[in-house]
Amino acid sequence: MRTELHKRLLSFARRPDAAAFDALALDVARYQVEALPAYGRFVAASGGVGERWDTVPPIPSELFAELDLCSQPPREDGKDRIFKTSGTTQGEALRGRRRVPDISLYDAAMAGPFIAAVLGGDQSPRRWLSLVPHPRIMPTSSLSHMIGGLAEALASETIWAVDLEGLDLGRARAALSEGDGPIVILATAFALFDLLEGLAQPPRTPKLPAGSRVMLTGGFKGRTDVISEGELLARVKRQLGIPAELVVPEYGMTELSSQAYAACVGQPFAPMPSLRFRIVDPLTSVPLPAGQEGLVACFDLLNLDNVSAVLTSDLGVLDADGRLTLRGRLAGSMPRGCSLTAEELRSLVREP
Amino acid sequence: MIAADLLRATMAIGFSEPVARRGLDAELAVWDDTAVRAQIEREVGAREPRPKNVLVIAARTLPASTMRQVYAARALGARVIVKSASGQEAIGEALAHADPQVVATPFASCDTAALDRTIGESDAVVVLGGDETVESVRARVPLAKHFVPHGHRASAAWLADDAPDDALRGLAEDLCAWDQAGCLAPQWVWVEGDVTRLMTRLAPHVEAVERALPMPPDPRVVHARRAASAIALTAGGQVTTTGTAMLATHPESRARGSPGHRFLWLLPASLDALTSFAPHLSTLGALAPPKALPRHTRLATPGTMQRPPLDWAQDGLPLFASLVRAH
Repeated sequence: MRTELHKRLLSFARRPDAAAFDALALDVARYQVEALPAYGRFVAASGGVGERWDTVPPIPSELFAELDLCSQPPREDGKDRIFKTSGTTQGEALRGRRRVPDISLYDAAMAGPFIAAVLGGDQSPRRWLSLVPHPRIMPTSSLSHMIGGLAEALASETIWAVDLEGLDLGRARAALSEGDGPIVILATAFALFDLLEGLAQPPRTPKLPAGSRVMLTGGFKGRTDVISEGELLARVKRQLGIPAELVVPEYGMTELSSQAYAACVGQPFAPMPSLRFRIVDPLTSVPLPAGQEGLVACFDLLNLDNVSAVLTSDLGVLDADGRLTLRGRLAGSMPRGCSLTAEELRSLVREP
Repeated sequence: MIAADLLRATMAIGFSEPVARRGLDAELAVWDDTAVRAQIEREVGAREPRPKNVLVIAARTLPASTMRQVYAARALGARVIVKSASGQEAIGEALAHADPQVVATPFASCDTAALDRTIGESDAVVVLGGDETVESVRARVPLAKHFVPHGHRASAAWLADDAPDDALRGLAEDLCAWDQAGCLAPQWVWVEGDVTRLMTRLAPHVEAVERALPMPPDPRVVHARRAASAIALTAGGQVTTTGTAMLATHPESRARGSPGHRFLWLLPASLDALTSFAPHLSTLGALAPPKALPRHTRLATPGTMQRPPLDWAQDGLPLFASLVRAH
C-alpha cells in the first residue's frame, strides 16, 4: 500500500492536481491509521477519518515531542534523518522531533513552489546568501535541509554566513559586495535583523543589484520588542535596496514536509498544492469559516510516513481561497503555583 | 475573614471568586492562635535567637504558600519582607496592608543589587520557586544566614478502584482547589485495580464539586489539555470530560505531568513508579500509606491534600524551626 501511495504522491508532487487532493488525502490518512498504531488509536477515539481531508482528526503538534510519530522502523545503523524543532529553555526532552526515513517526497515537491514564489518564476542561476546554517552544520533542521537542497539545484553559488556561532558578518558583507547580478538572501527574521545591524556599521555596503530578493521565515516568535515587521522591511529597502514586494515570507514547520509562501509581507500564505489549511475554534475544535480567527490545522499529503493532519498552536484566519494570515500563537497558559510543570516533569521522568 | 485586597489580588491571578475564597479560607483556618503557639513550642521551644527580619521570595506561587511563610515568620515575631513574583505584586501588597510589620518590596528578579540589599536586611531567607530560582538566591545568601529553600514538587494520589465515595469526593476537591495549581494538587492518581472504573466513578464527584468551584474557560488551557488528551488516546487510554475538568487514563505507570487547570491522569498503581518519583513528590493523597511511602512525603487523606496542617514539614523543613535552626 505504501509503495503505491508513494508513487501517487510523487506524481502529485510533480504534477499537482487540486481535484485529486481529497481522495489522495483520505487514502494517506487511512494508510497512516493502519501503519501507525498510536495515530490509529487517536483517530478511532476521535470518531474516525471521515469523508473529506478536513474531517481527518489532526494530531496536536506537541505530540511530536512526546512520540516517535513515524510508521517506518528506525534504521538499524541509527542514522535516521530526524528533524527537530528549535531548542527550548527546557532542554532536549521537550523538542519536537520528526523522523523522516524517506525524504524523496519532501525533496520532489519543494522546488516548484519556491521558484514560483521566491524566485518570481525565474530559474536562472543566481548567487545566494544563506543566513540559515548549512545542513551539514545543522542536520536536524528541516529549514537547513530545504535550503541546502534548493541551493544545490538552483543557485550558481551559495555563501553560508551563519554557523553555530552565529552570523559571520565579514563573510556576509563580502557576499553582498562582490559579484554582479541579483542575489537571493534566505534568512530567518532574527538572522536578517542581525545582518542589518552589522551592515549598519562601517564600511558601507553598496545596495544590491536590482532583482535581488529575500526569503524570510520564522517570524519573531514573541520577540516583537526587537523590531517590528514594518521597520525590518524599511531597513531592508534602505540598507540593501530590496523593496518590500521582493521580500517573500515562507511558512513551514518541522512537523510538516510542505511549505506555504506569501506574495510579500502582509499578504496571506498560499499553501503549496500538497498542503491545505483549515481553522478550528480553540475552545470547541469546531471548524470555522473563512474570515474567523482560530487555531491553524494542516493536512500535508507529503507527510506519508508521519501524520498528515496536524493541529498547530498558531492562530490564523483563512480567506475564501484557503490562504492563511497568521495572527500569532496561542501561548501556553501561565503557570499558577509552585508545582512542577508538565514540561519539567517530562524532563525529570525518563522512559524506562 | 479574608481581606478584600488579598481576595482581589488572588482573583487577578486568574481564579474564580469561589476558588479564591475557598483556598484563602483554608489557609487562614490553620492559623489558630492556640494551635500556632503549641506548634512553635513543639518545634522551637525556648531556642534563641529568633529571626528579627525574614525575607520571603515568592516566585509565582500560590498566595497560600506565601501566606504560610509570612505568617510563620510573623508568629516568631519577625518583621517580614515579601518579594512577590513578577505580575503578582498585589499579593505582597495585600499582606503588607493587613500588617505593618510586613513590607512588600517589589523588584525585578534580575535586579541583583535589590536582592542583595534585602538579603542584607534579613536574618533568614525563604525561597519558593523553581530550582533555578532557588539556586540563584542560594548563591547570594551568606552562610551565616538561615536559608530555607522550597523548590518545585508535584503531588499525586493513590487509591483503589473501589475506594469509598468519600475518598473520591475528597480527591475531586483536591483537584478543583486552586484549580489544581500548586505543589499540593494531585496531578495523577495511581489506581489499584481497574483504572477506567475509578475514572468513571470519579467523574460525577468532580462534577458535583465544580458546580461550587467554577473555573473560567481559557482557550490556552483547552489547547494544552487537547495535547495531553491526545497523549492518552494515542497510548490507548480513555478520556472523559466534566464541566471544567478532564480525566484521562494511561496504560503506563510512570509519573506524568498534567497541564494543570483540572487535568488529572489516572495510572496503574506501581510501587516502582512511586519510588522513582519519590525525590520530587510532595504529598500523596491516600487512605493508607502504600508499602513504600518515600521519606519526606506527606501522606494526606483525600480532601486534605491542599490543606496542609501547621506541623507539615515541607521538604523536610519544619515551618518554624527552619527559621530558628541553630547556626
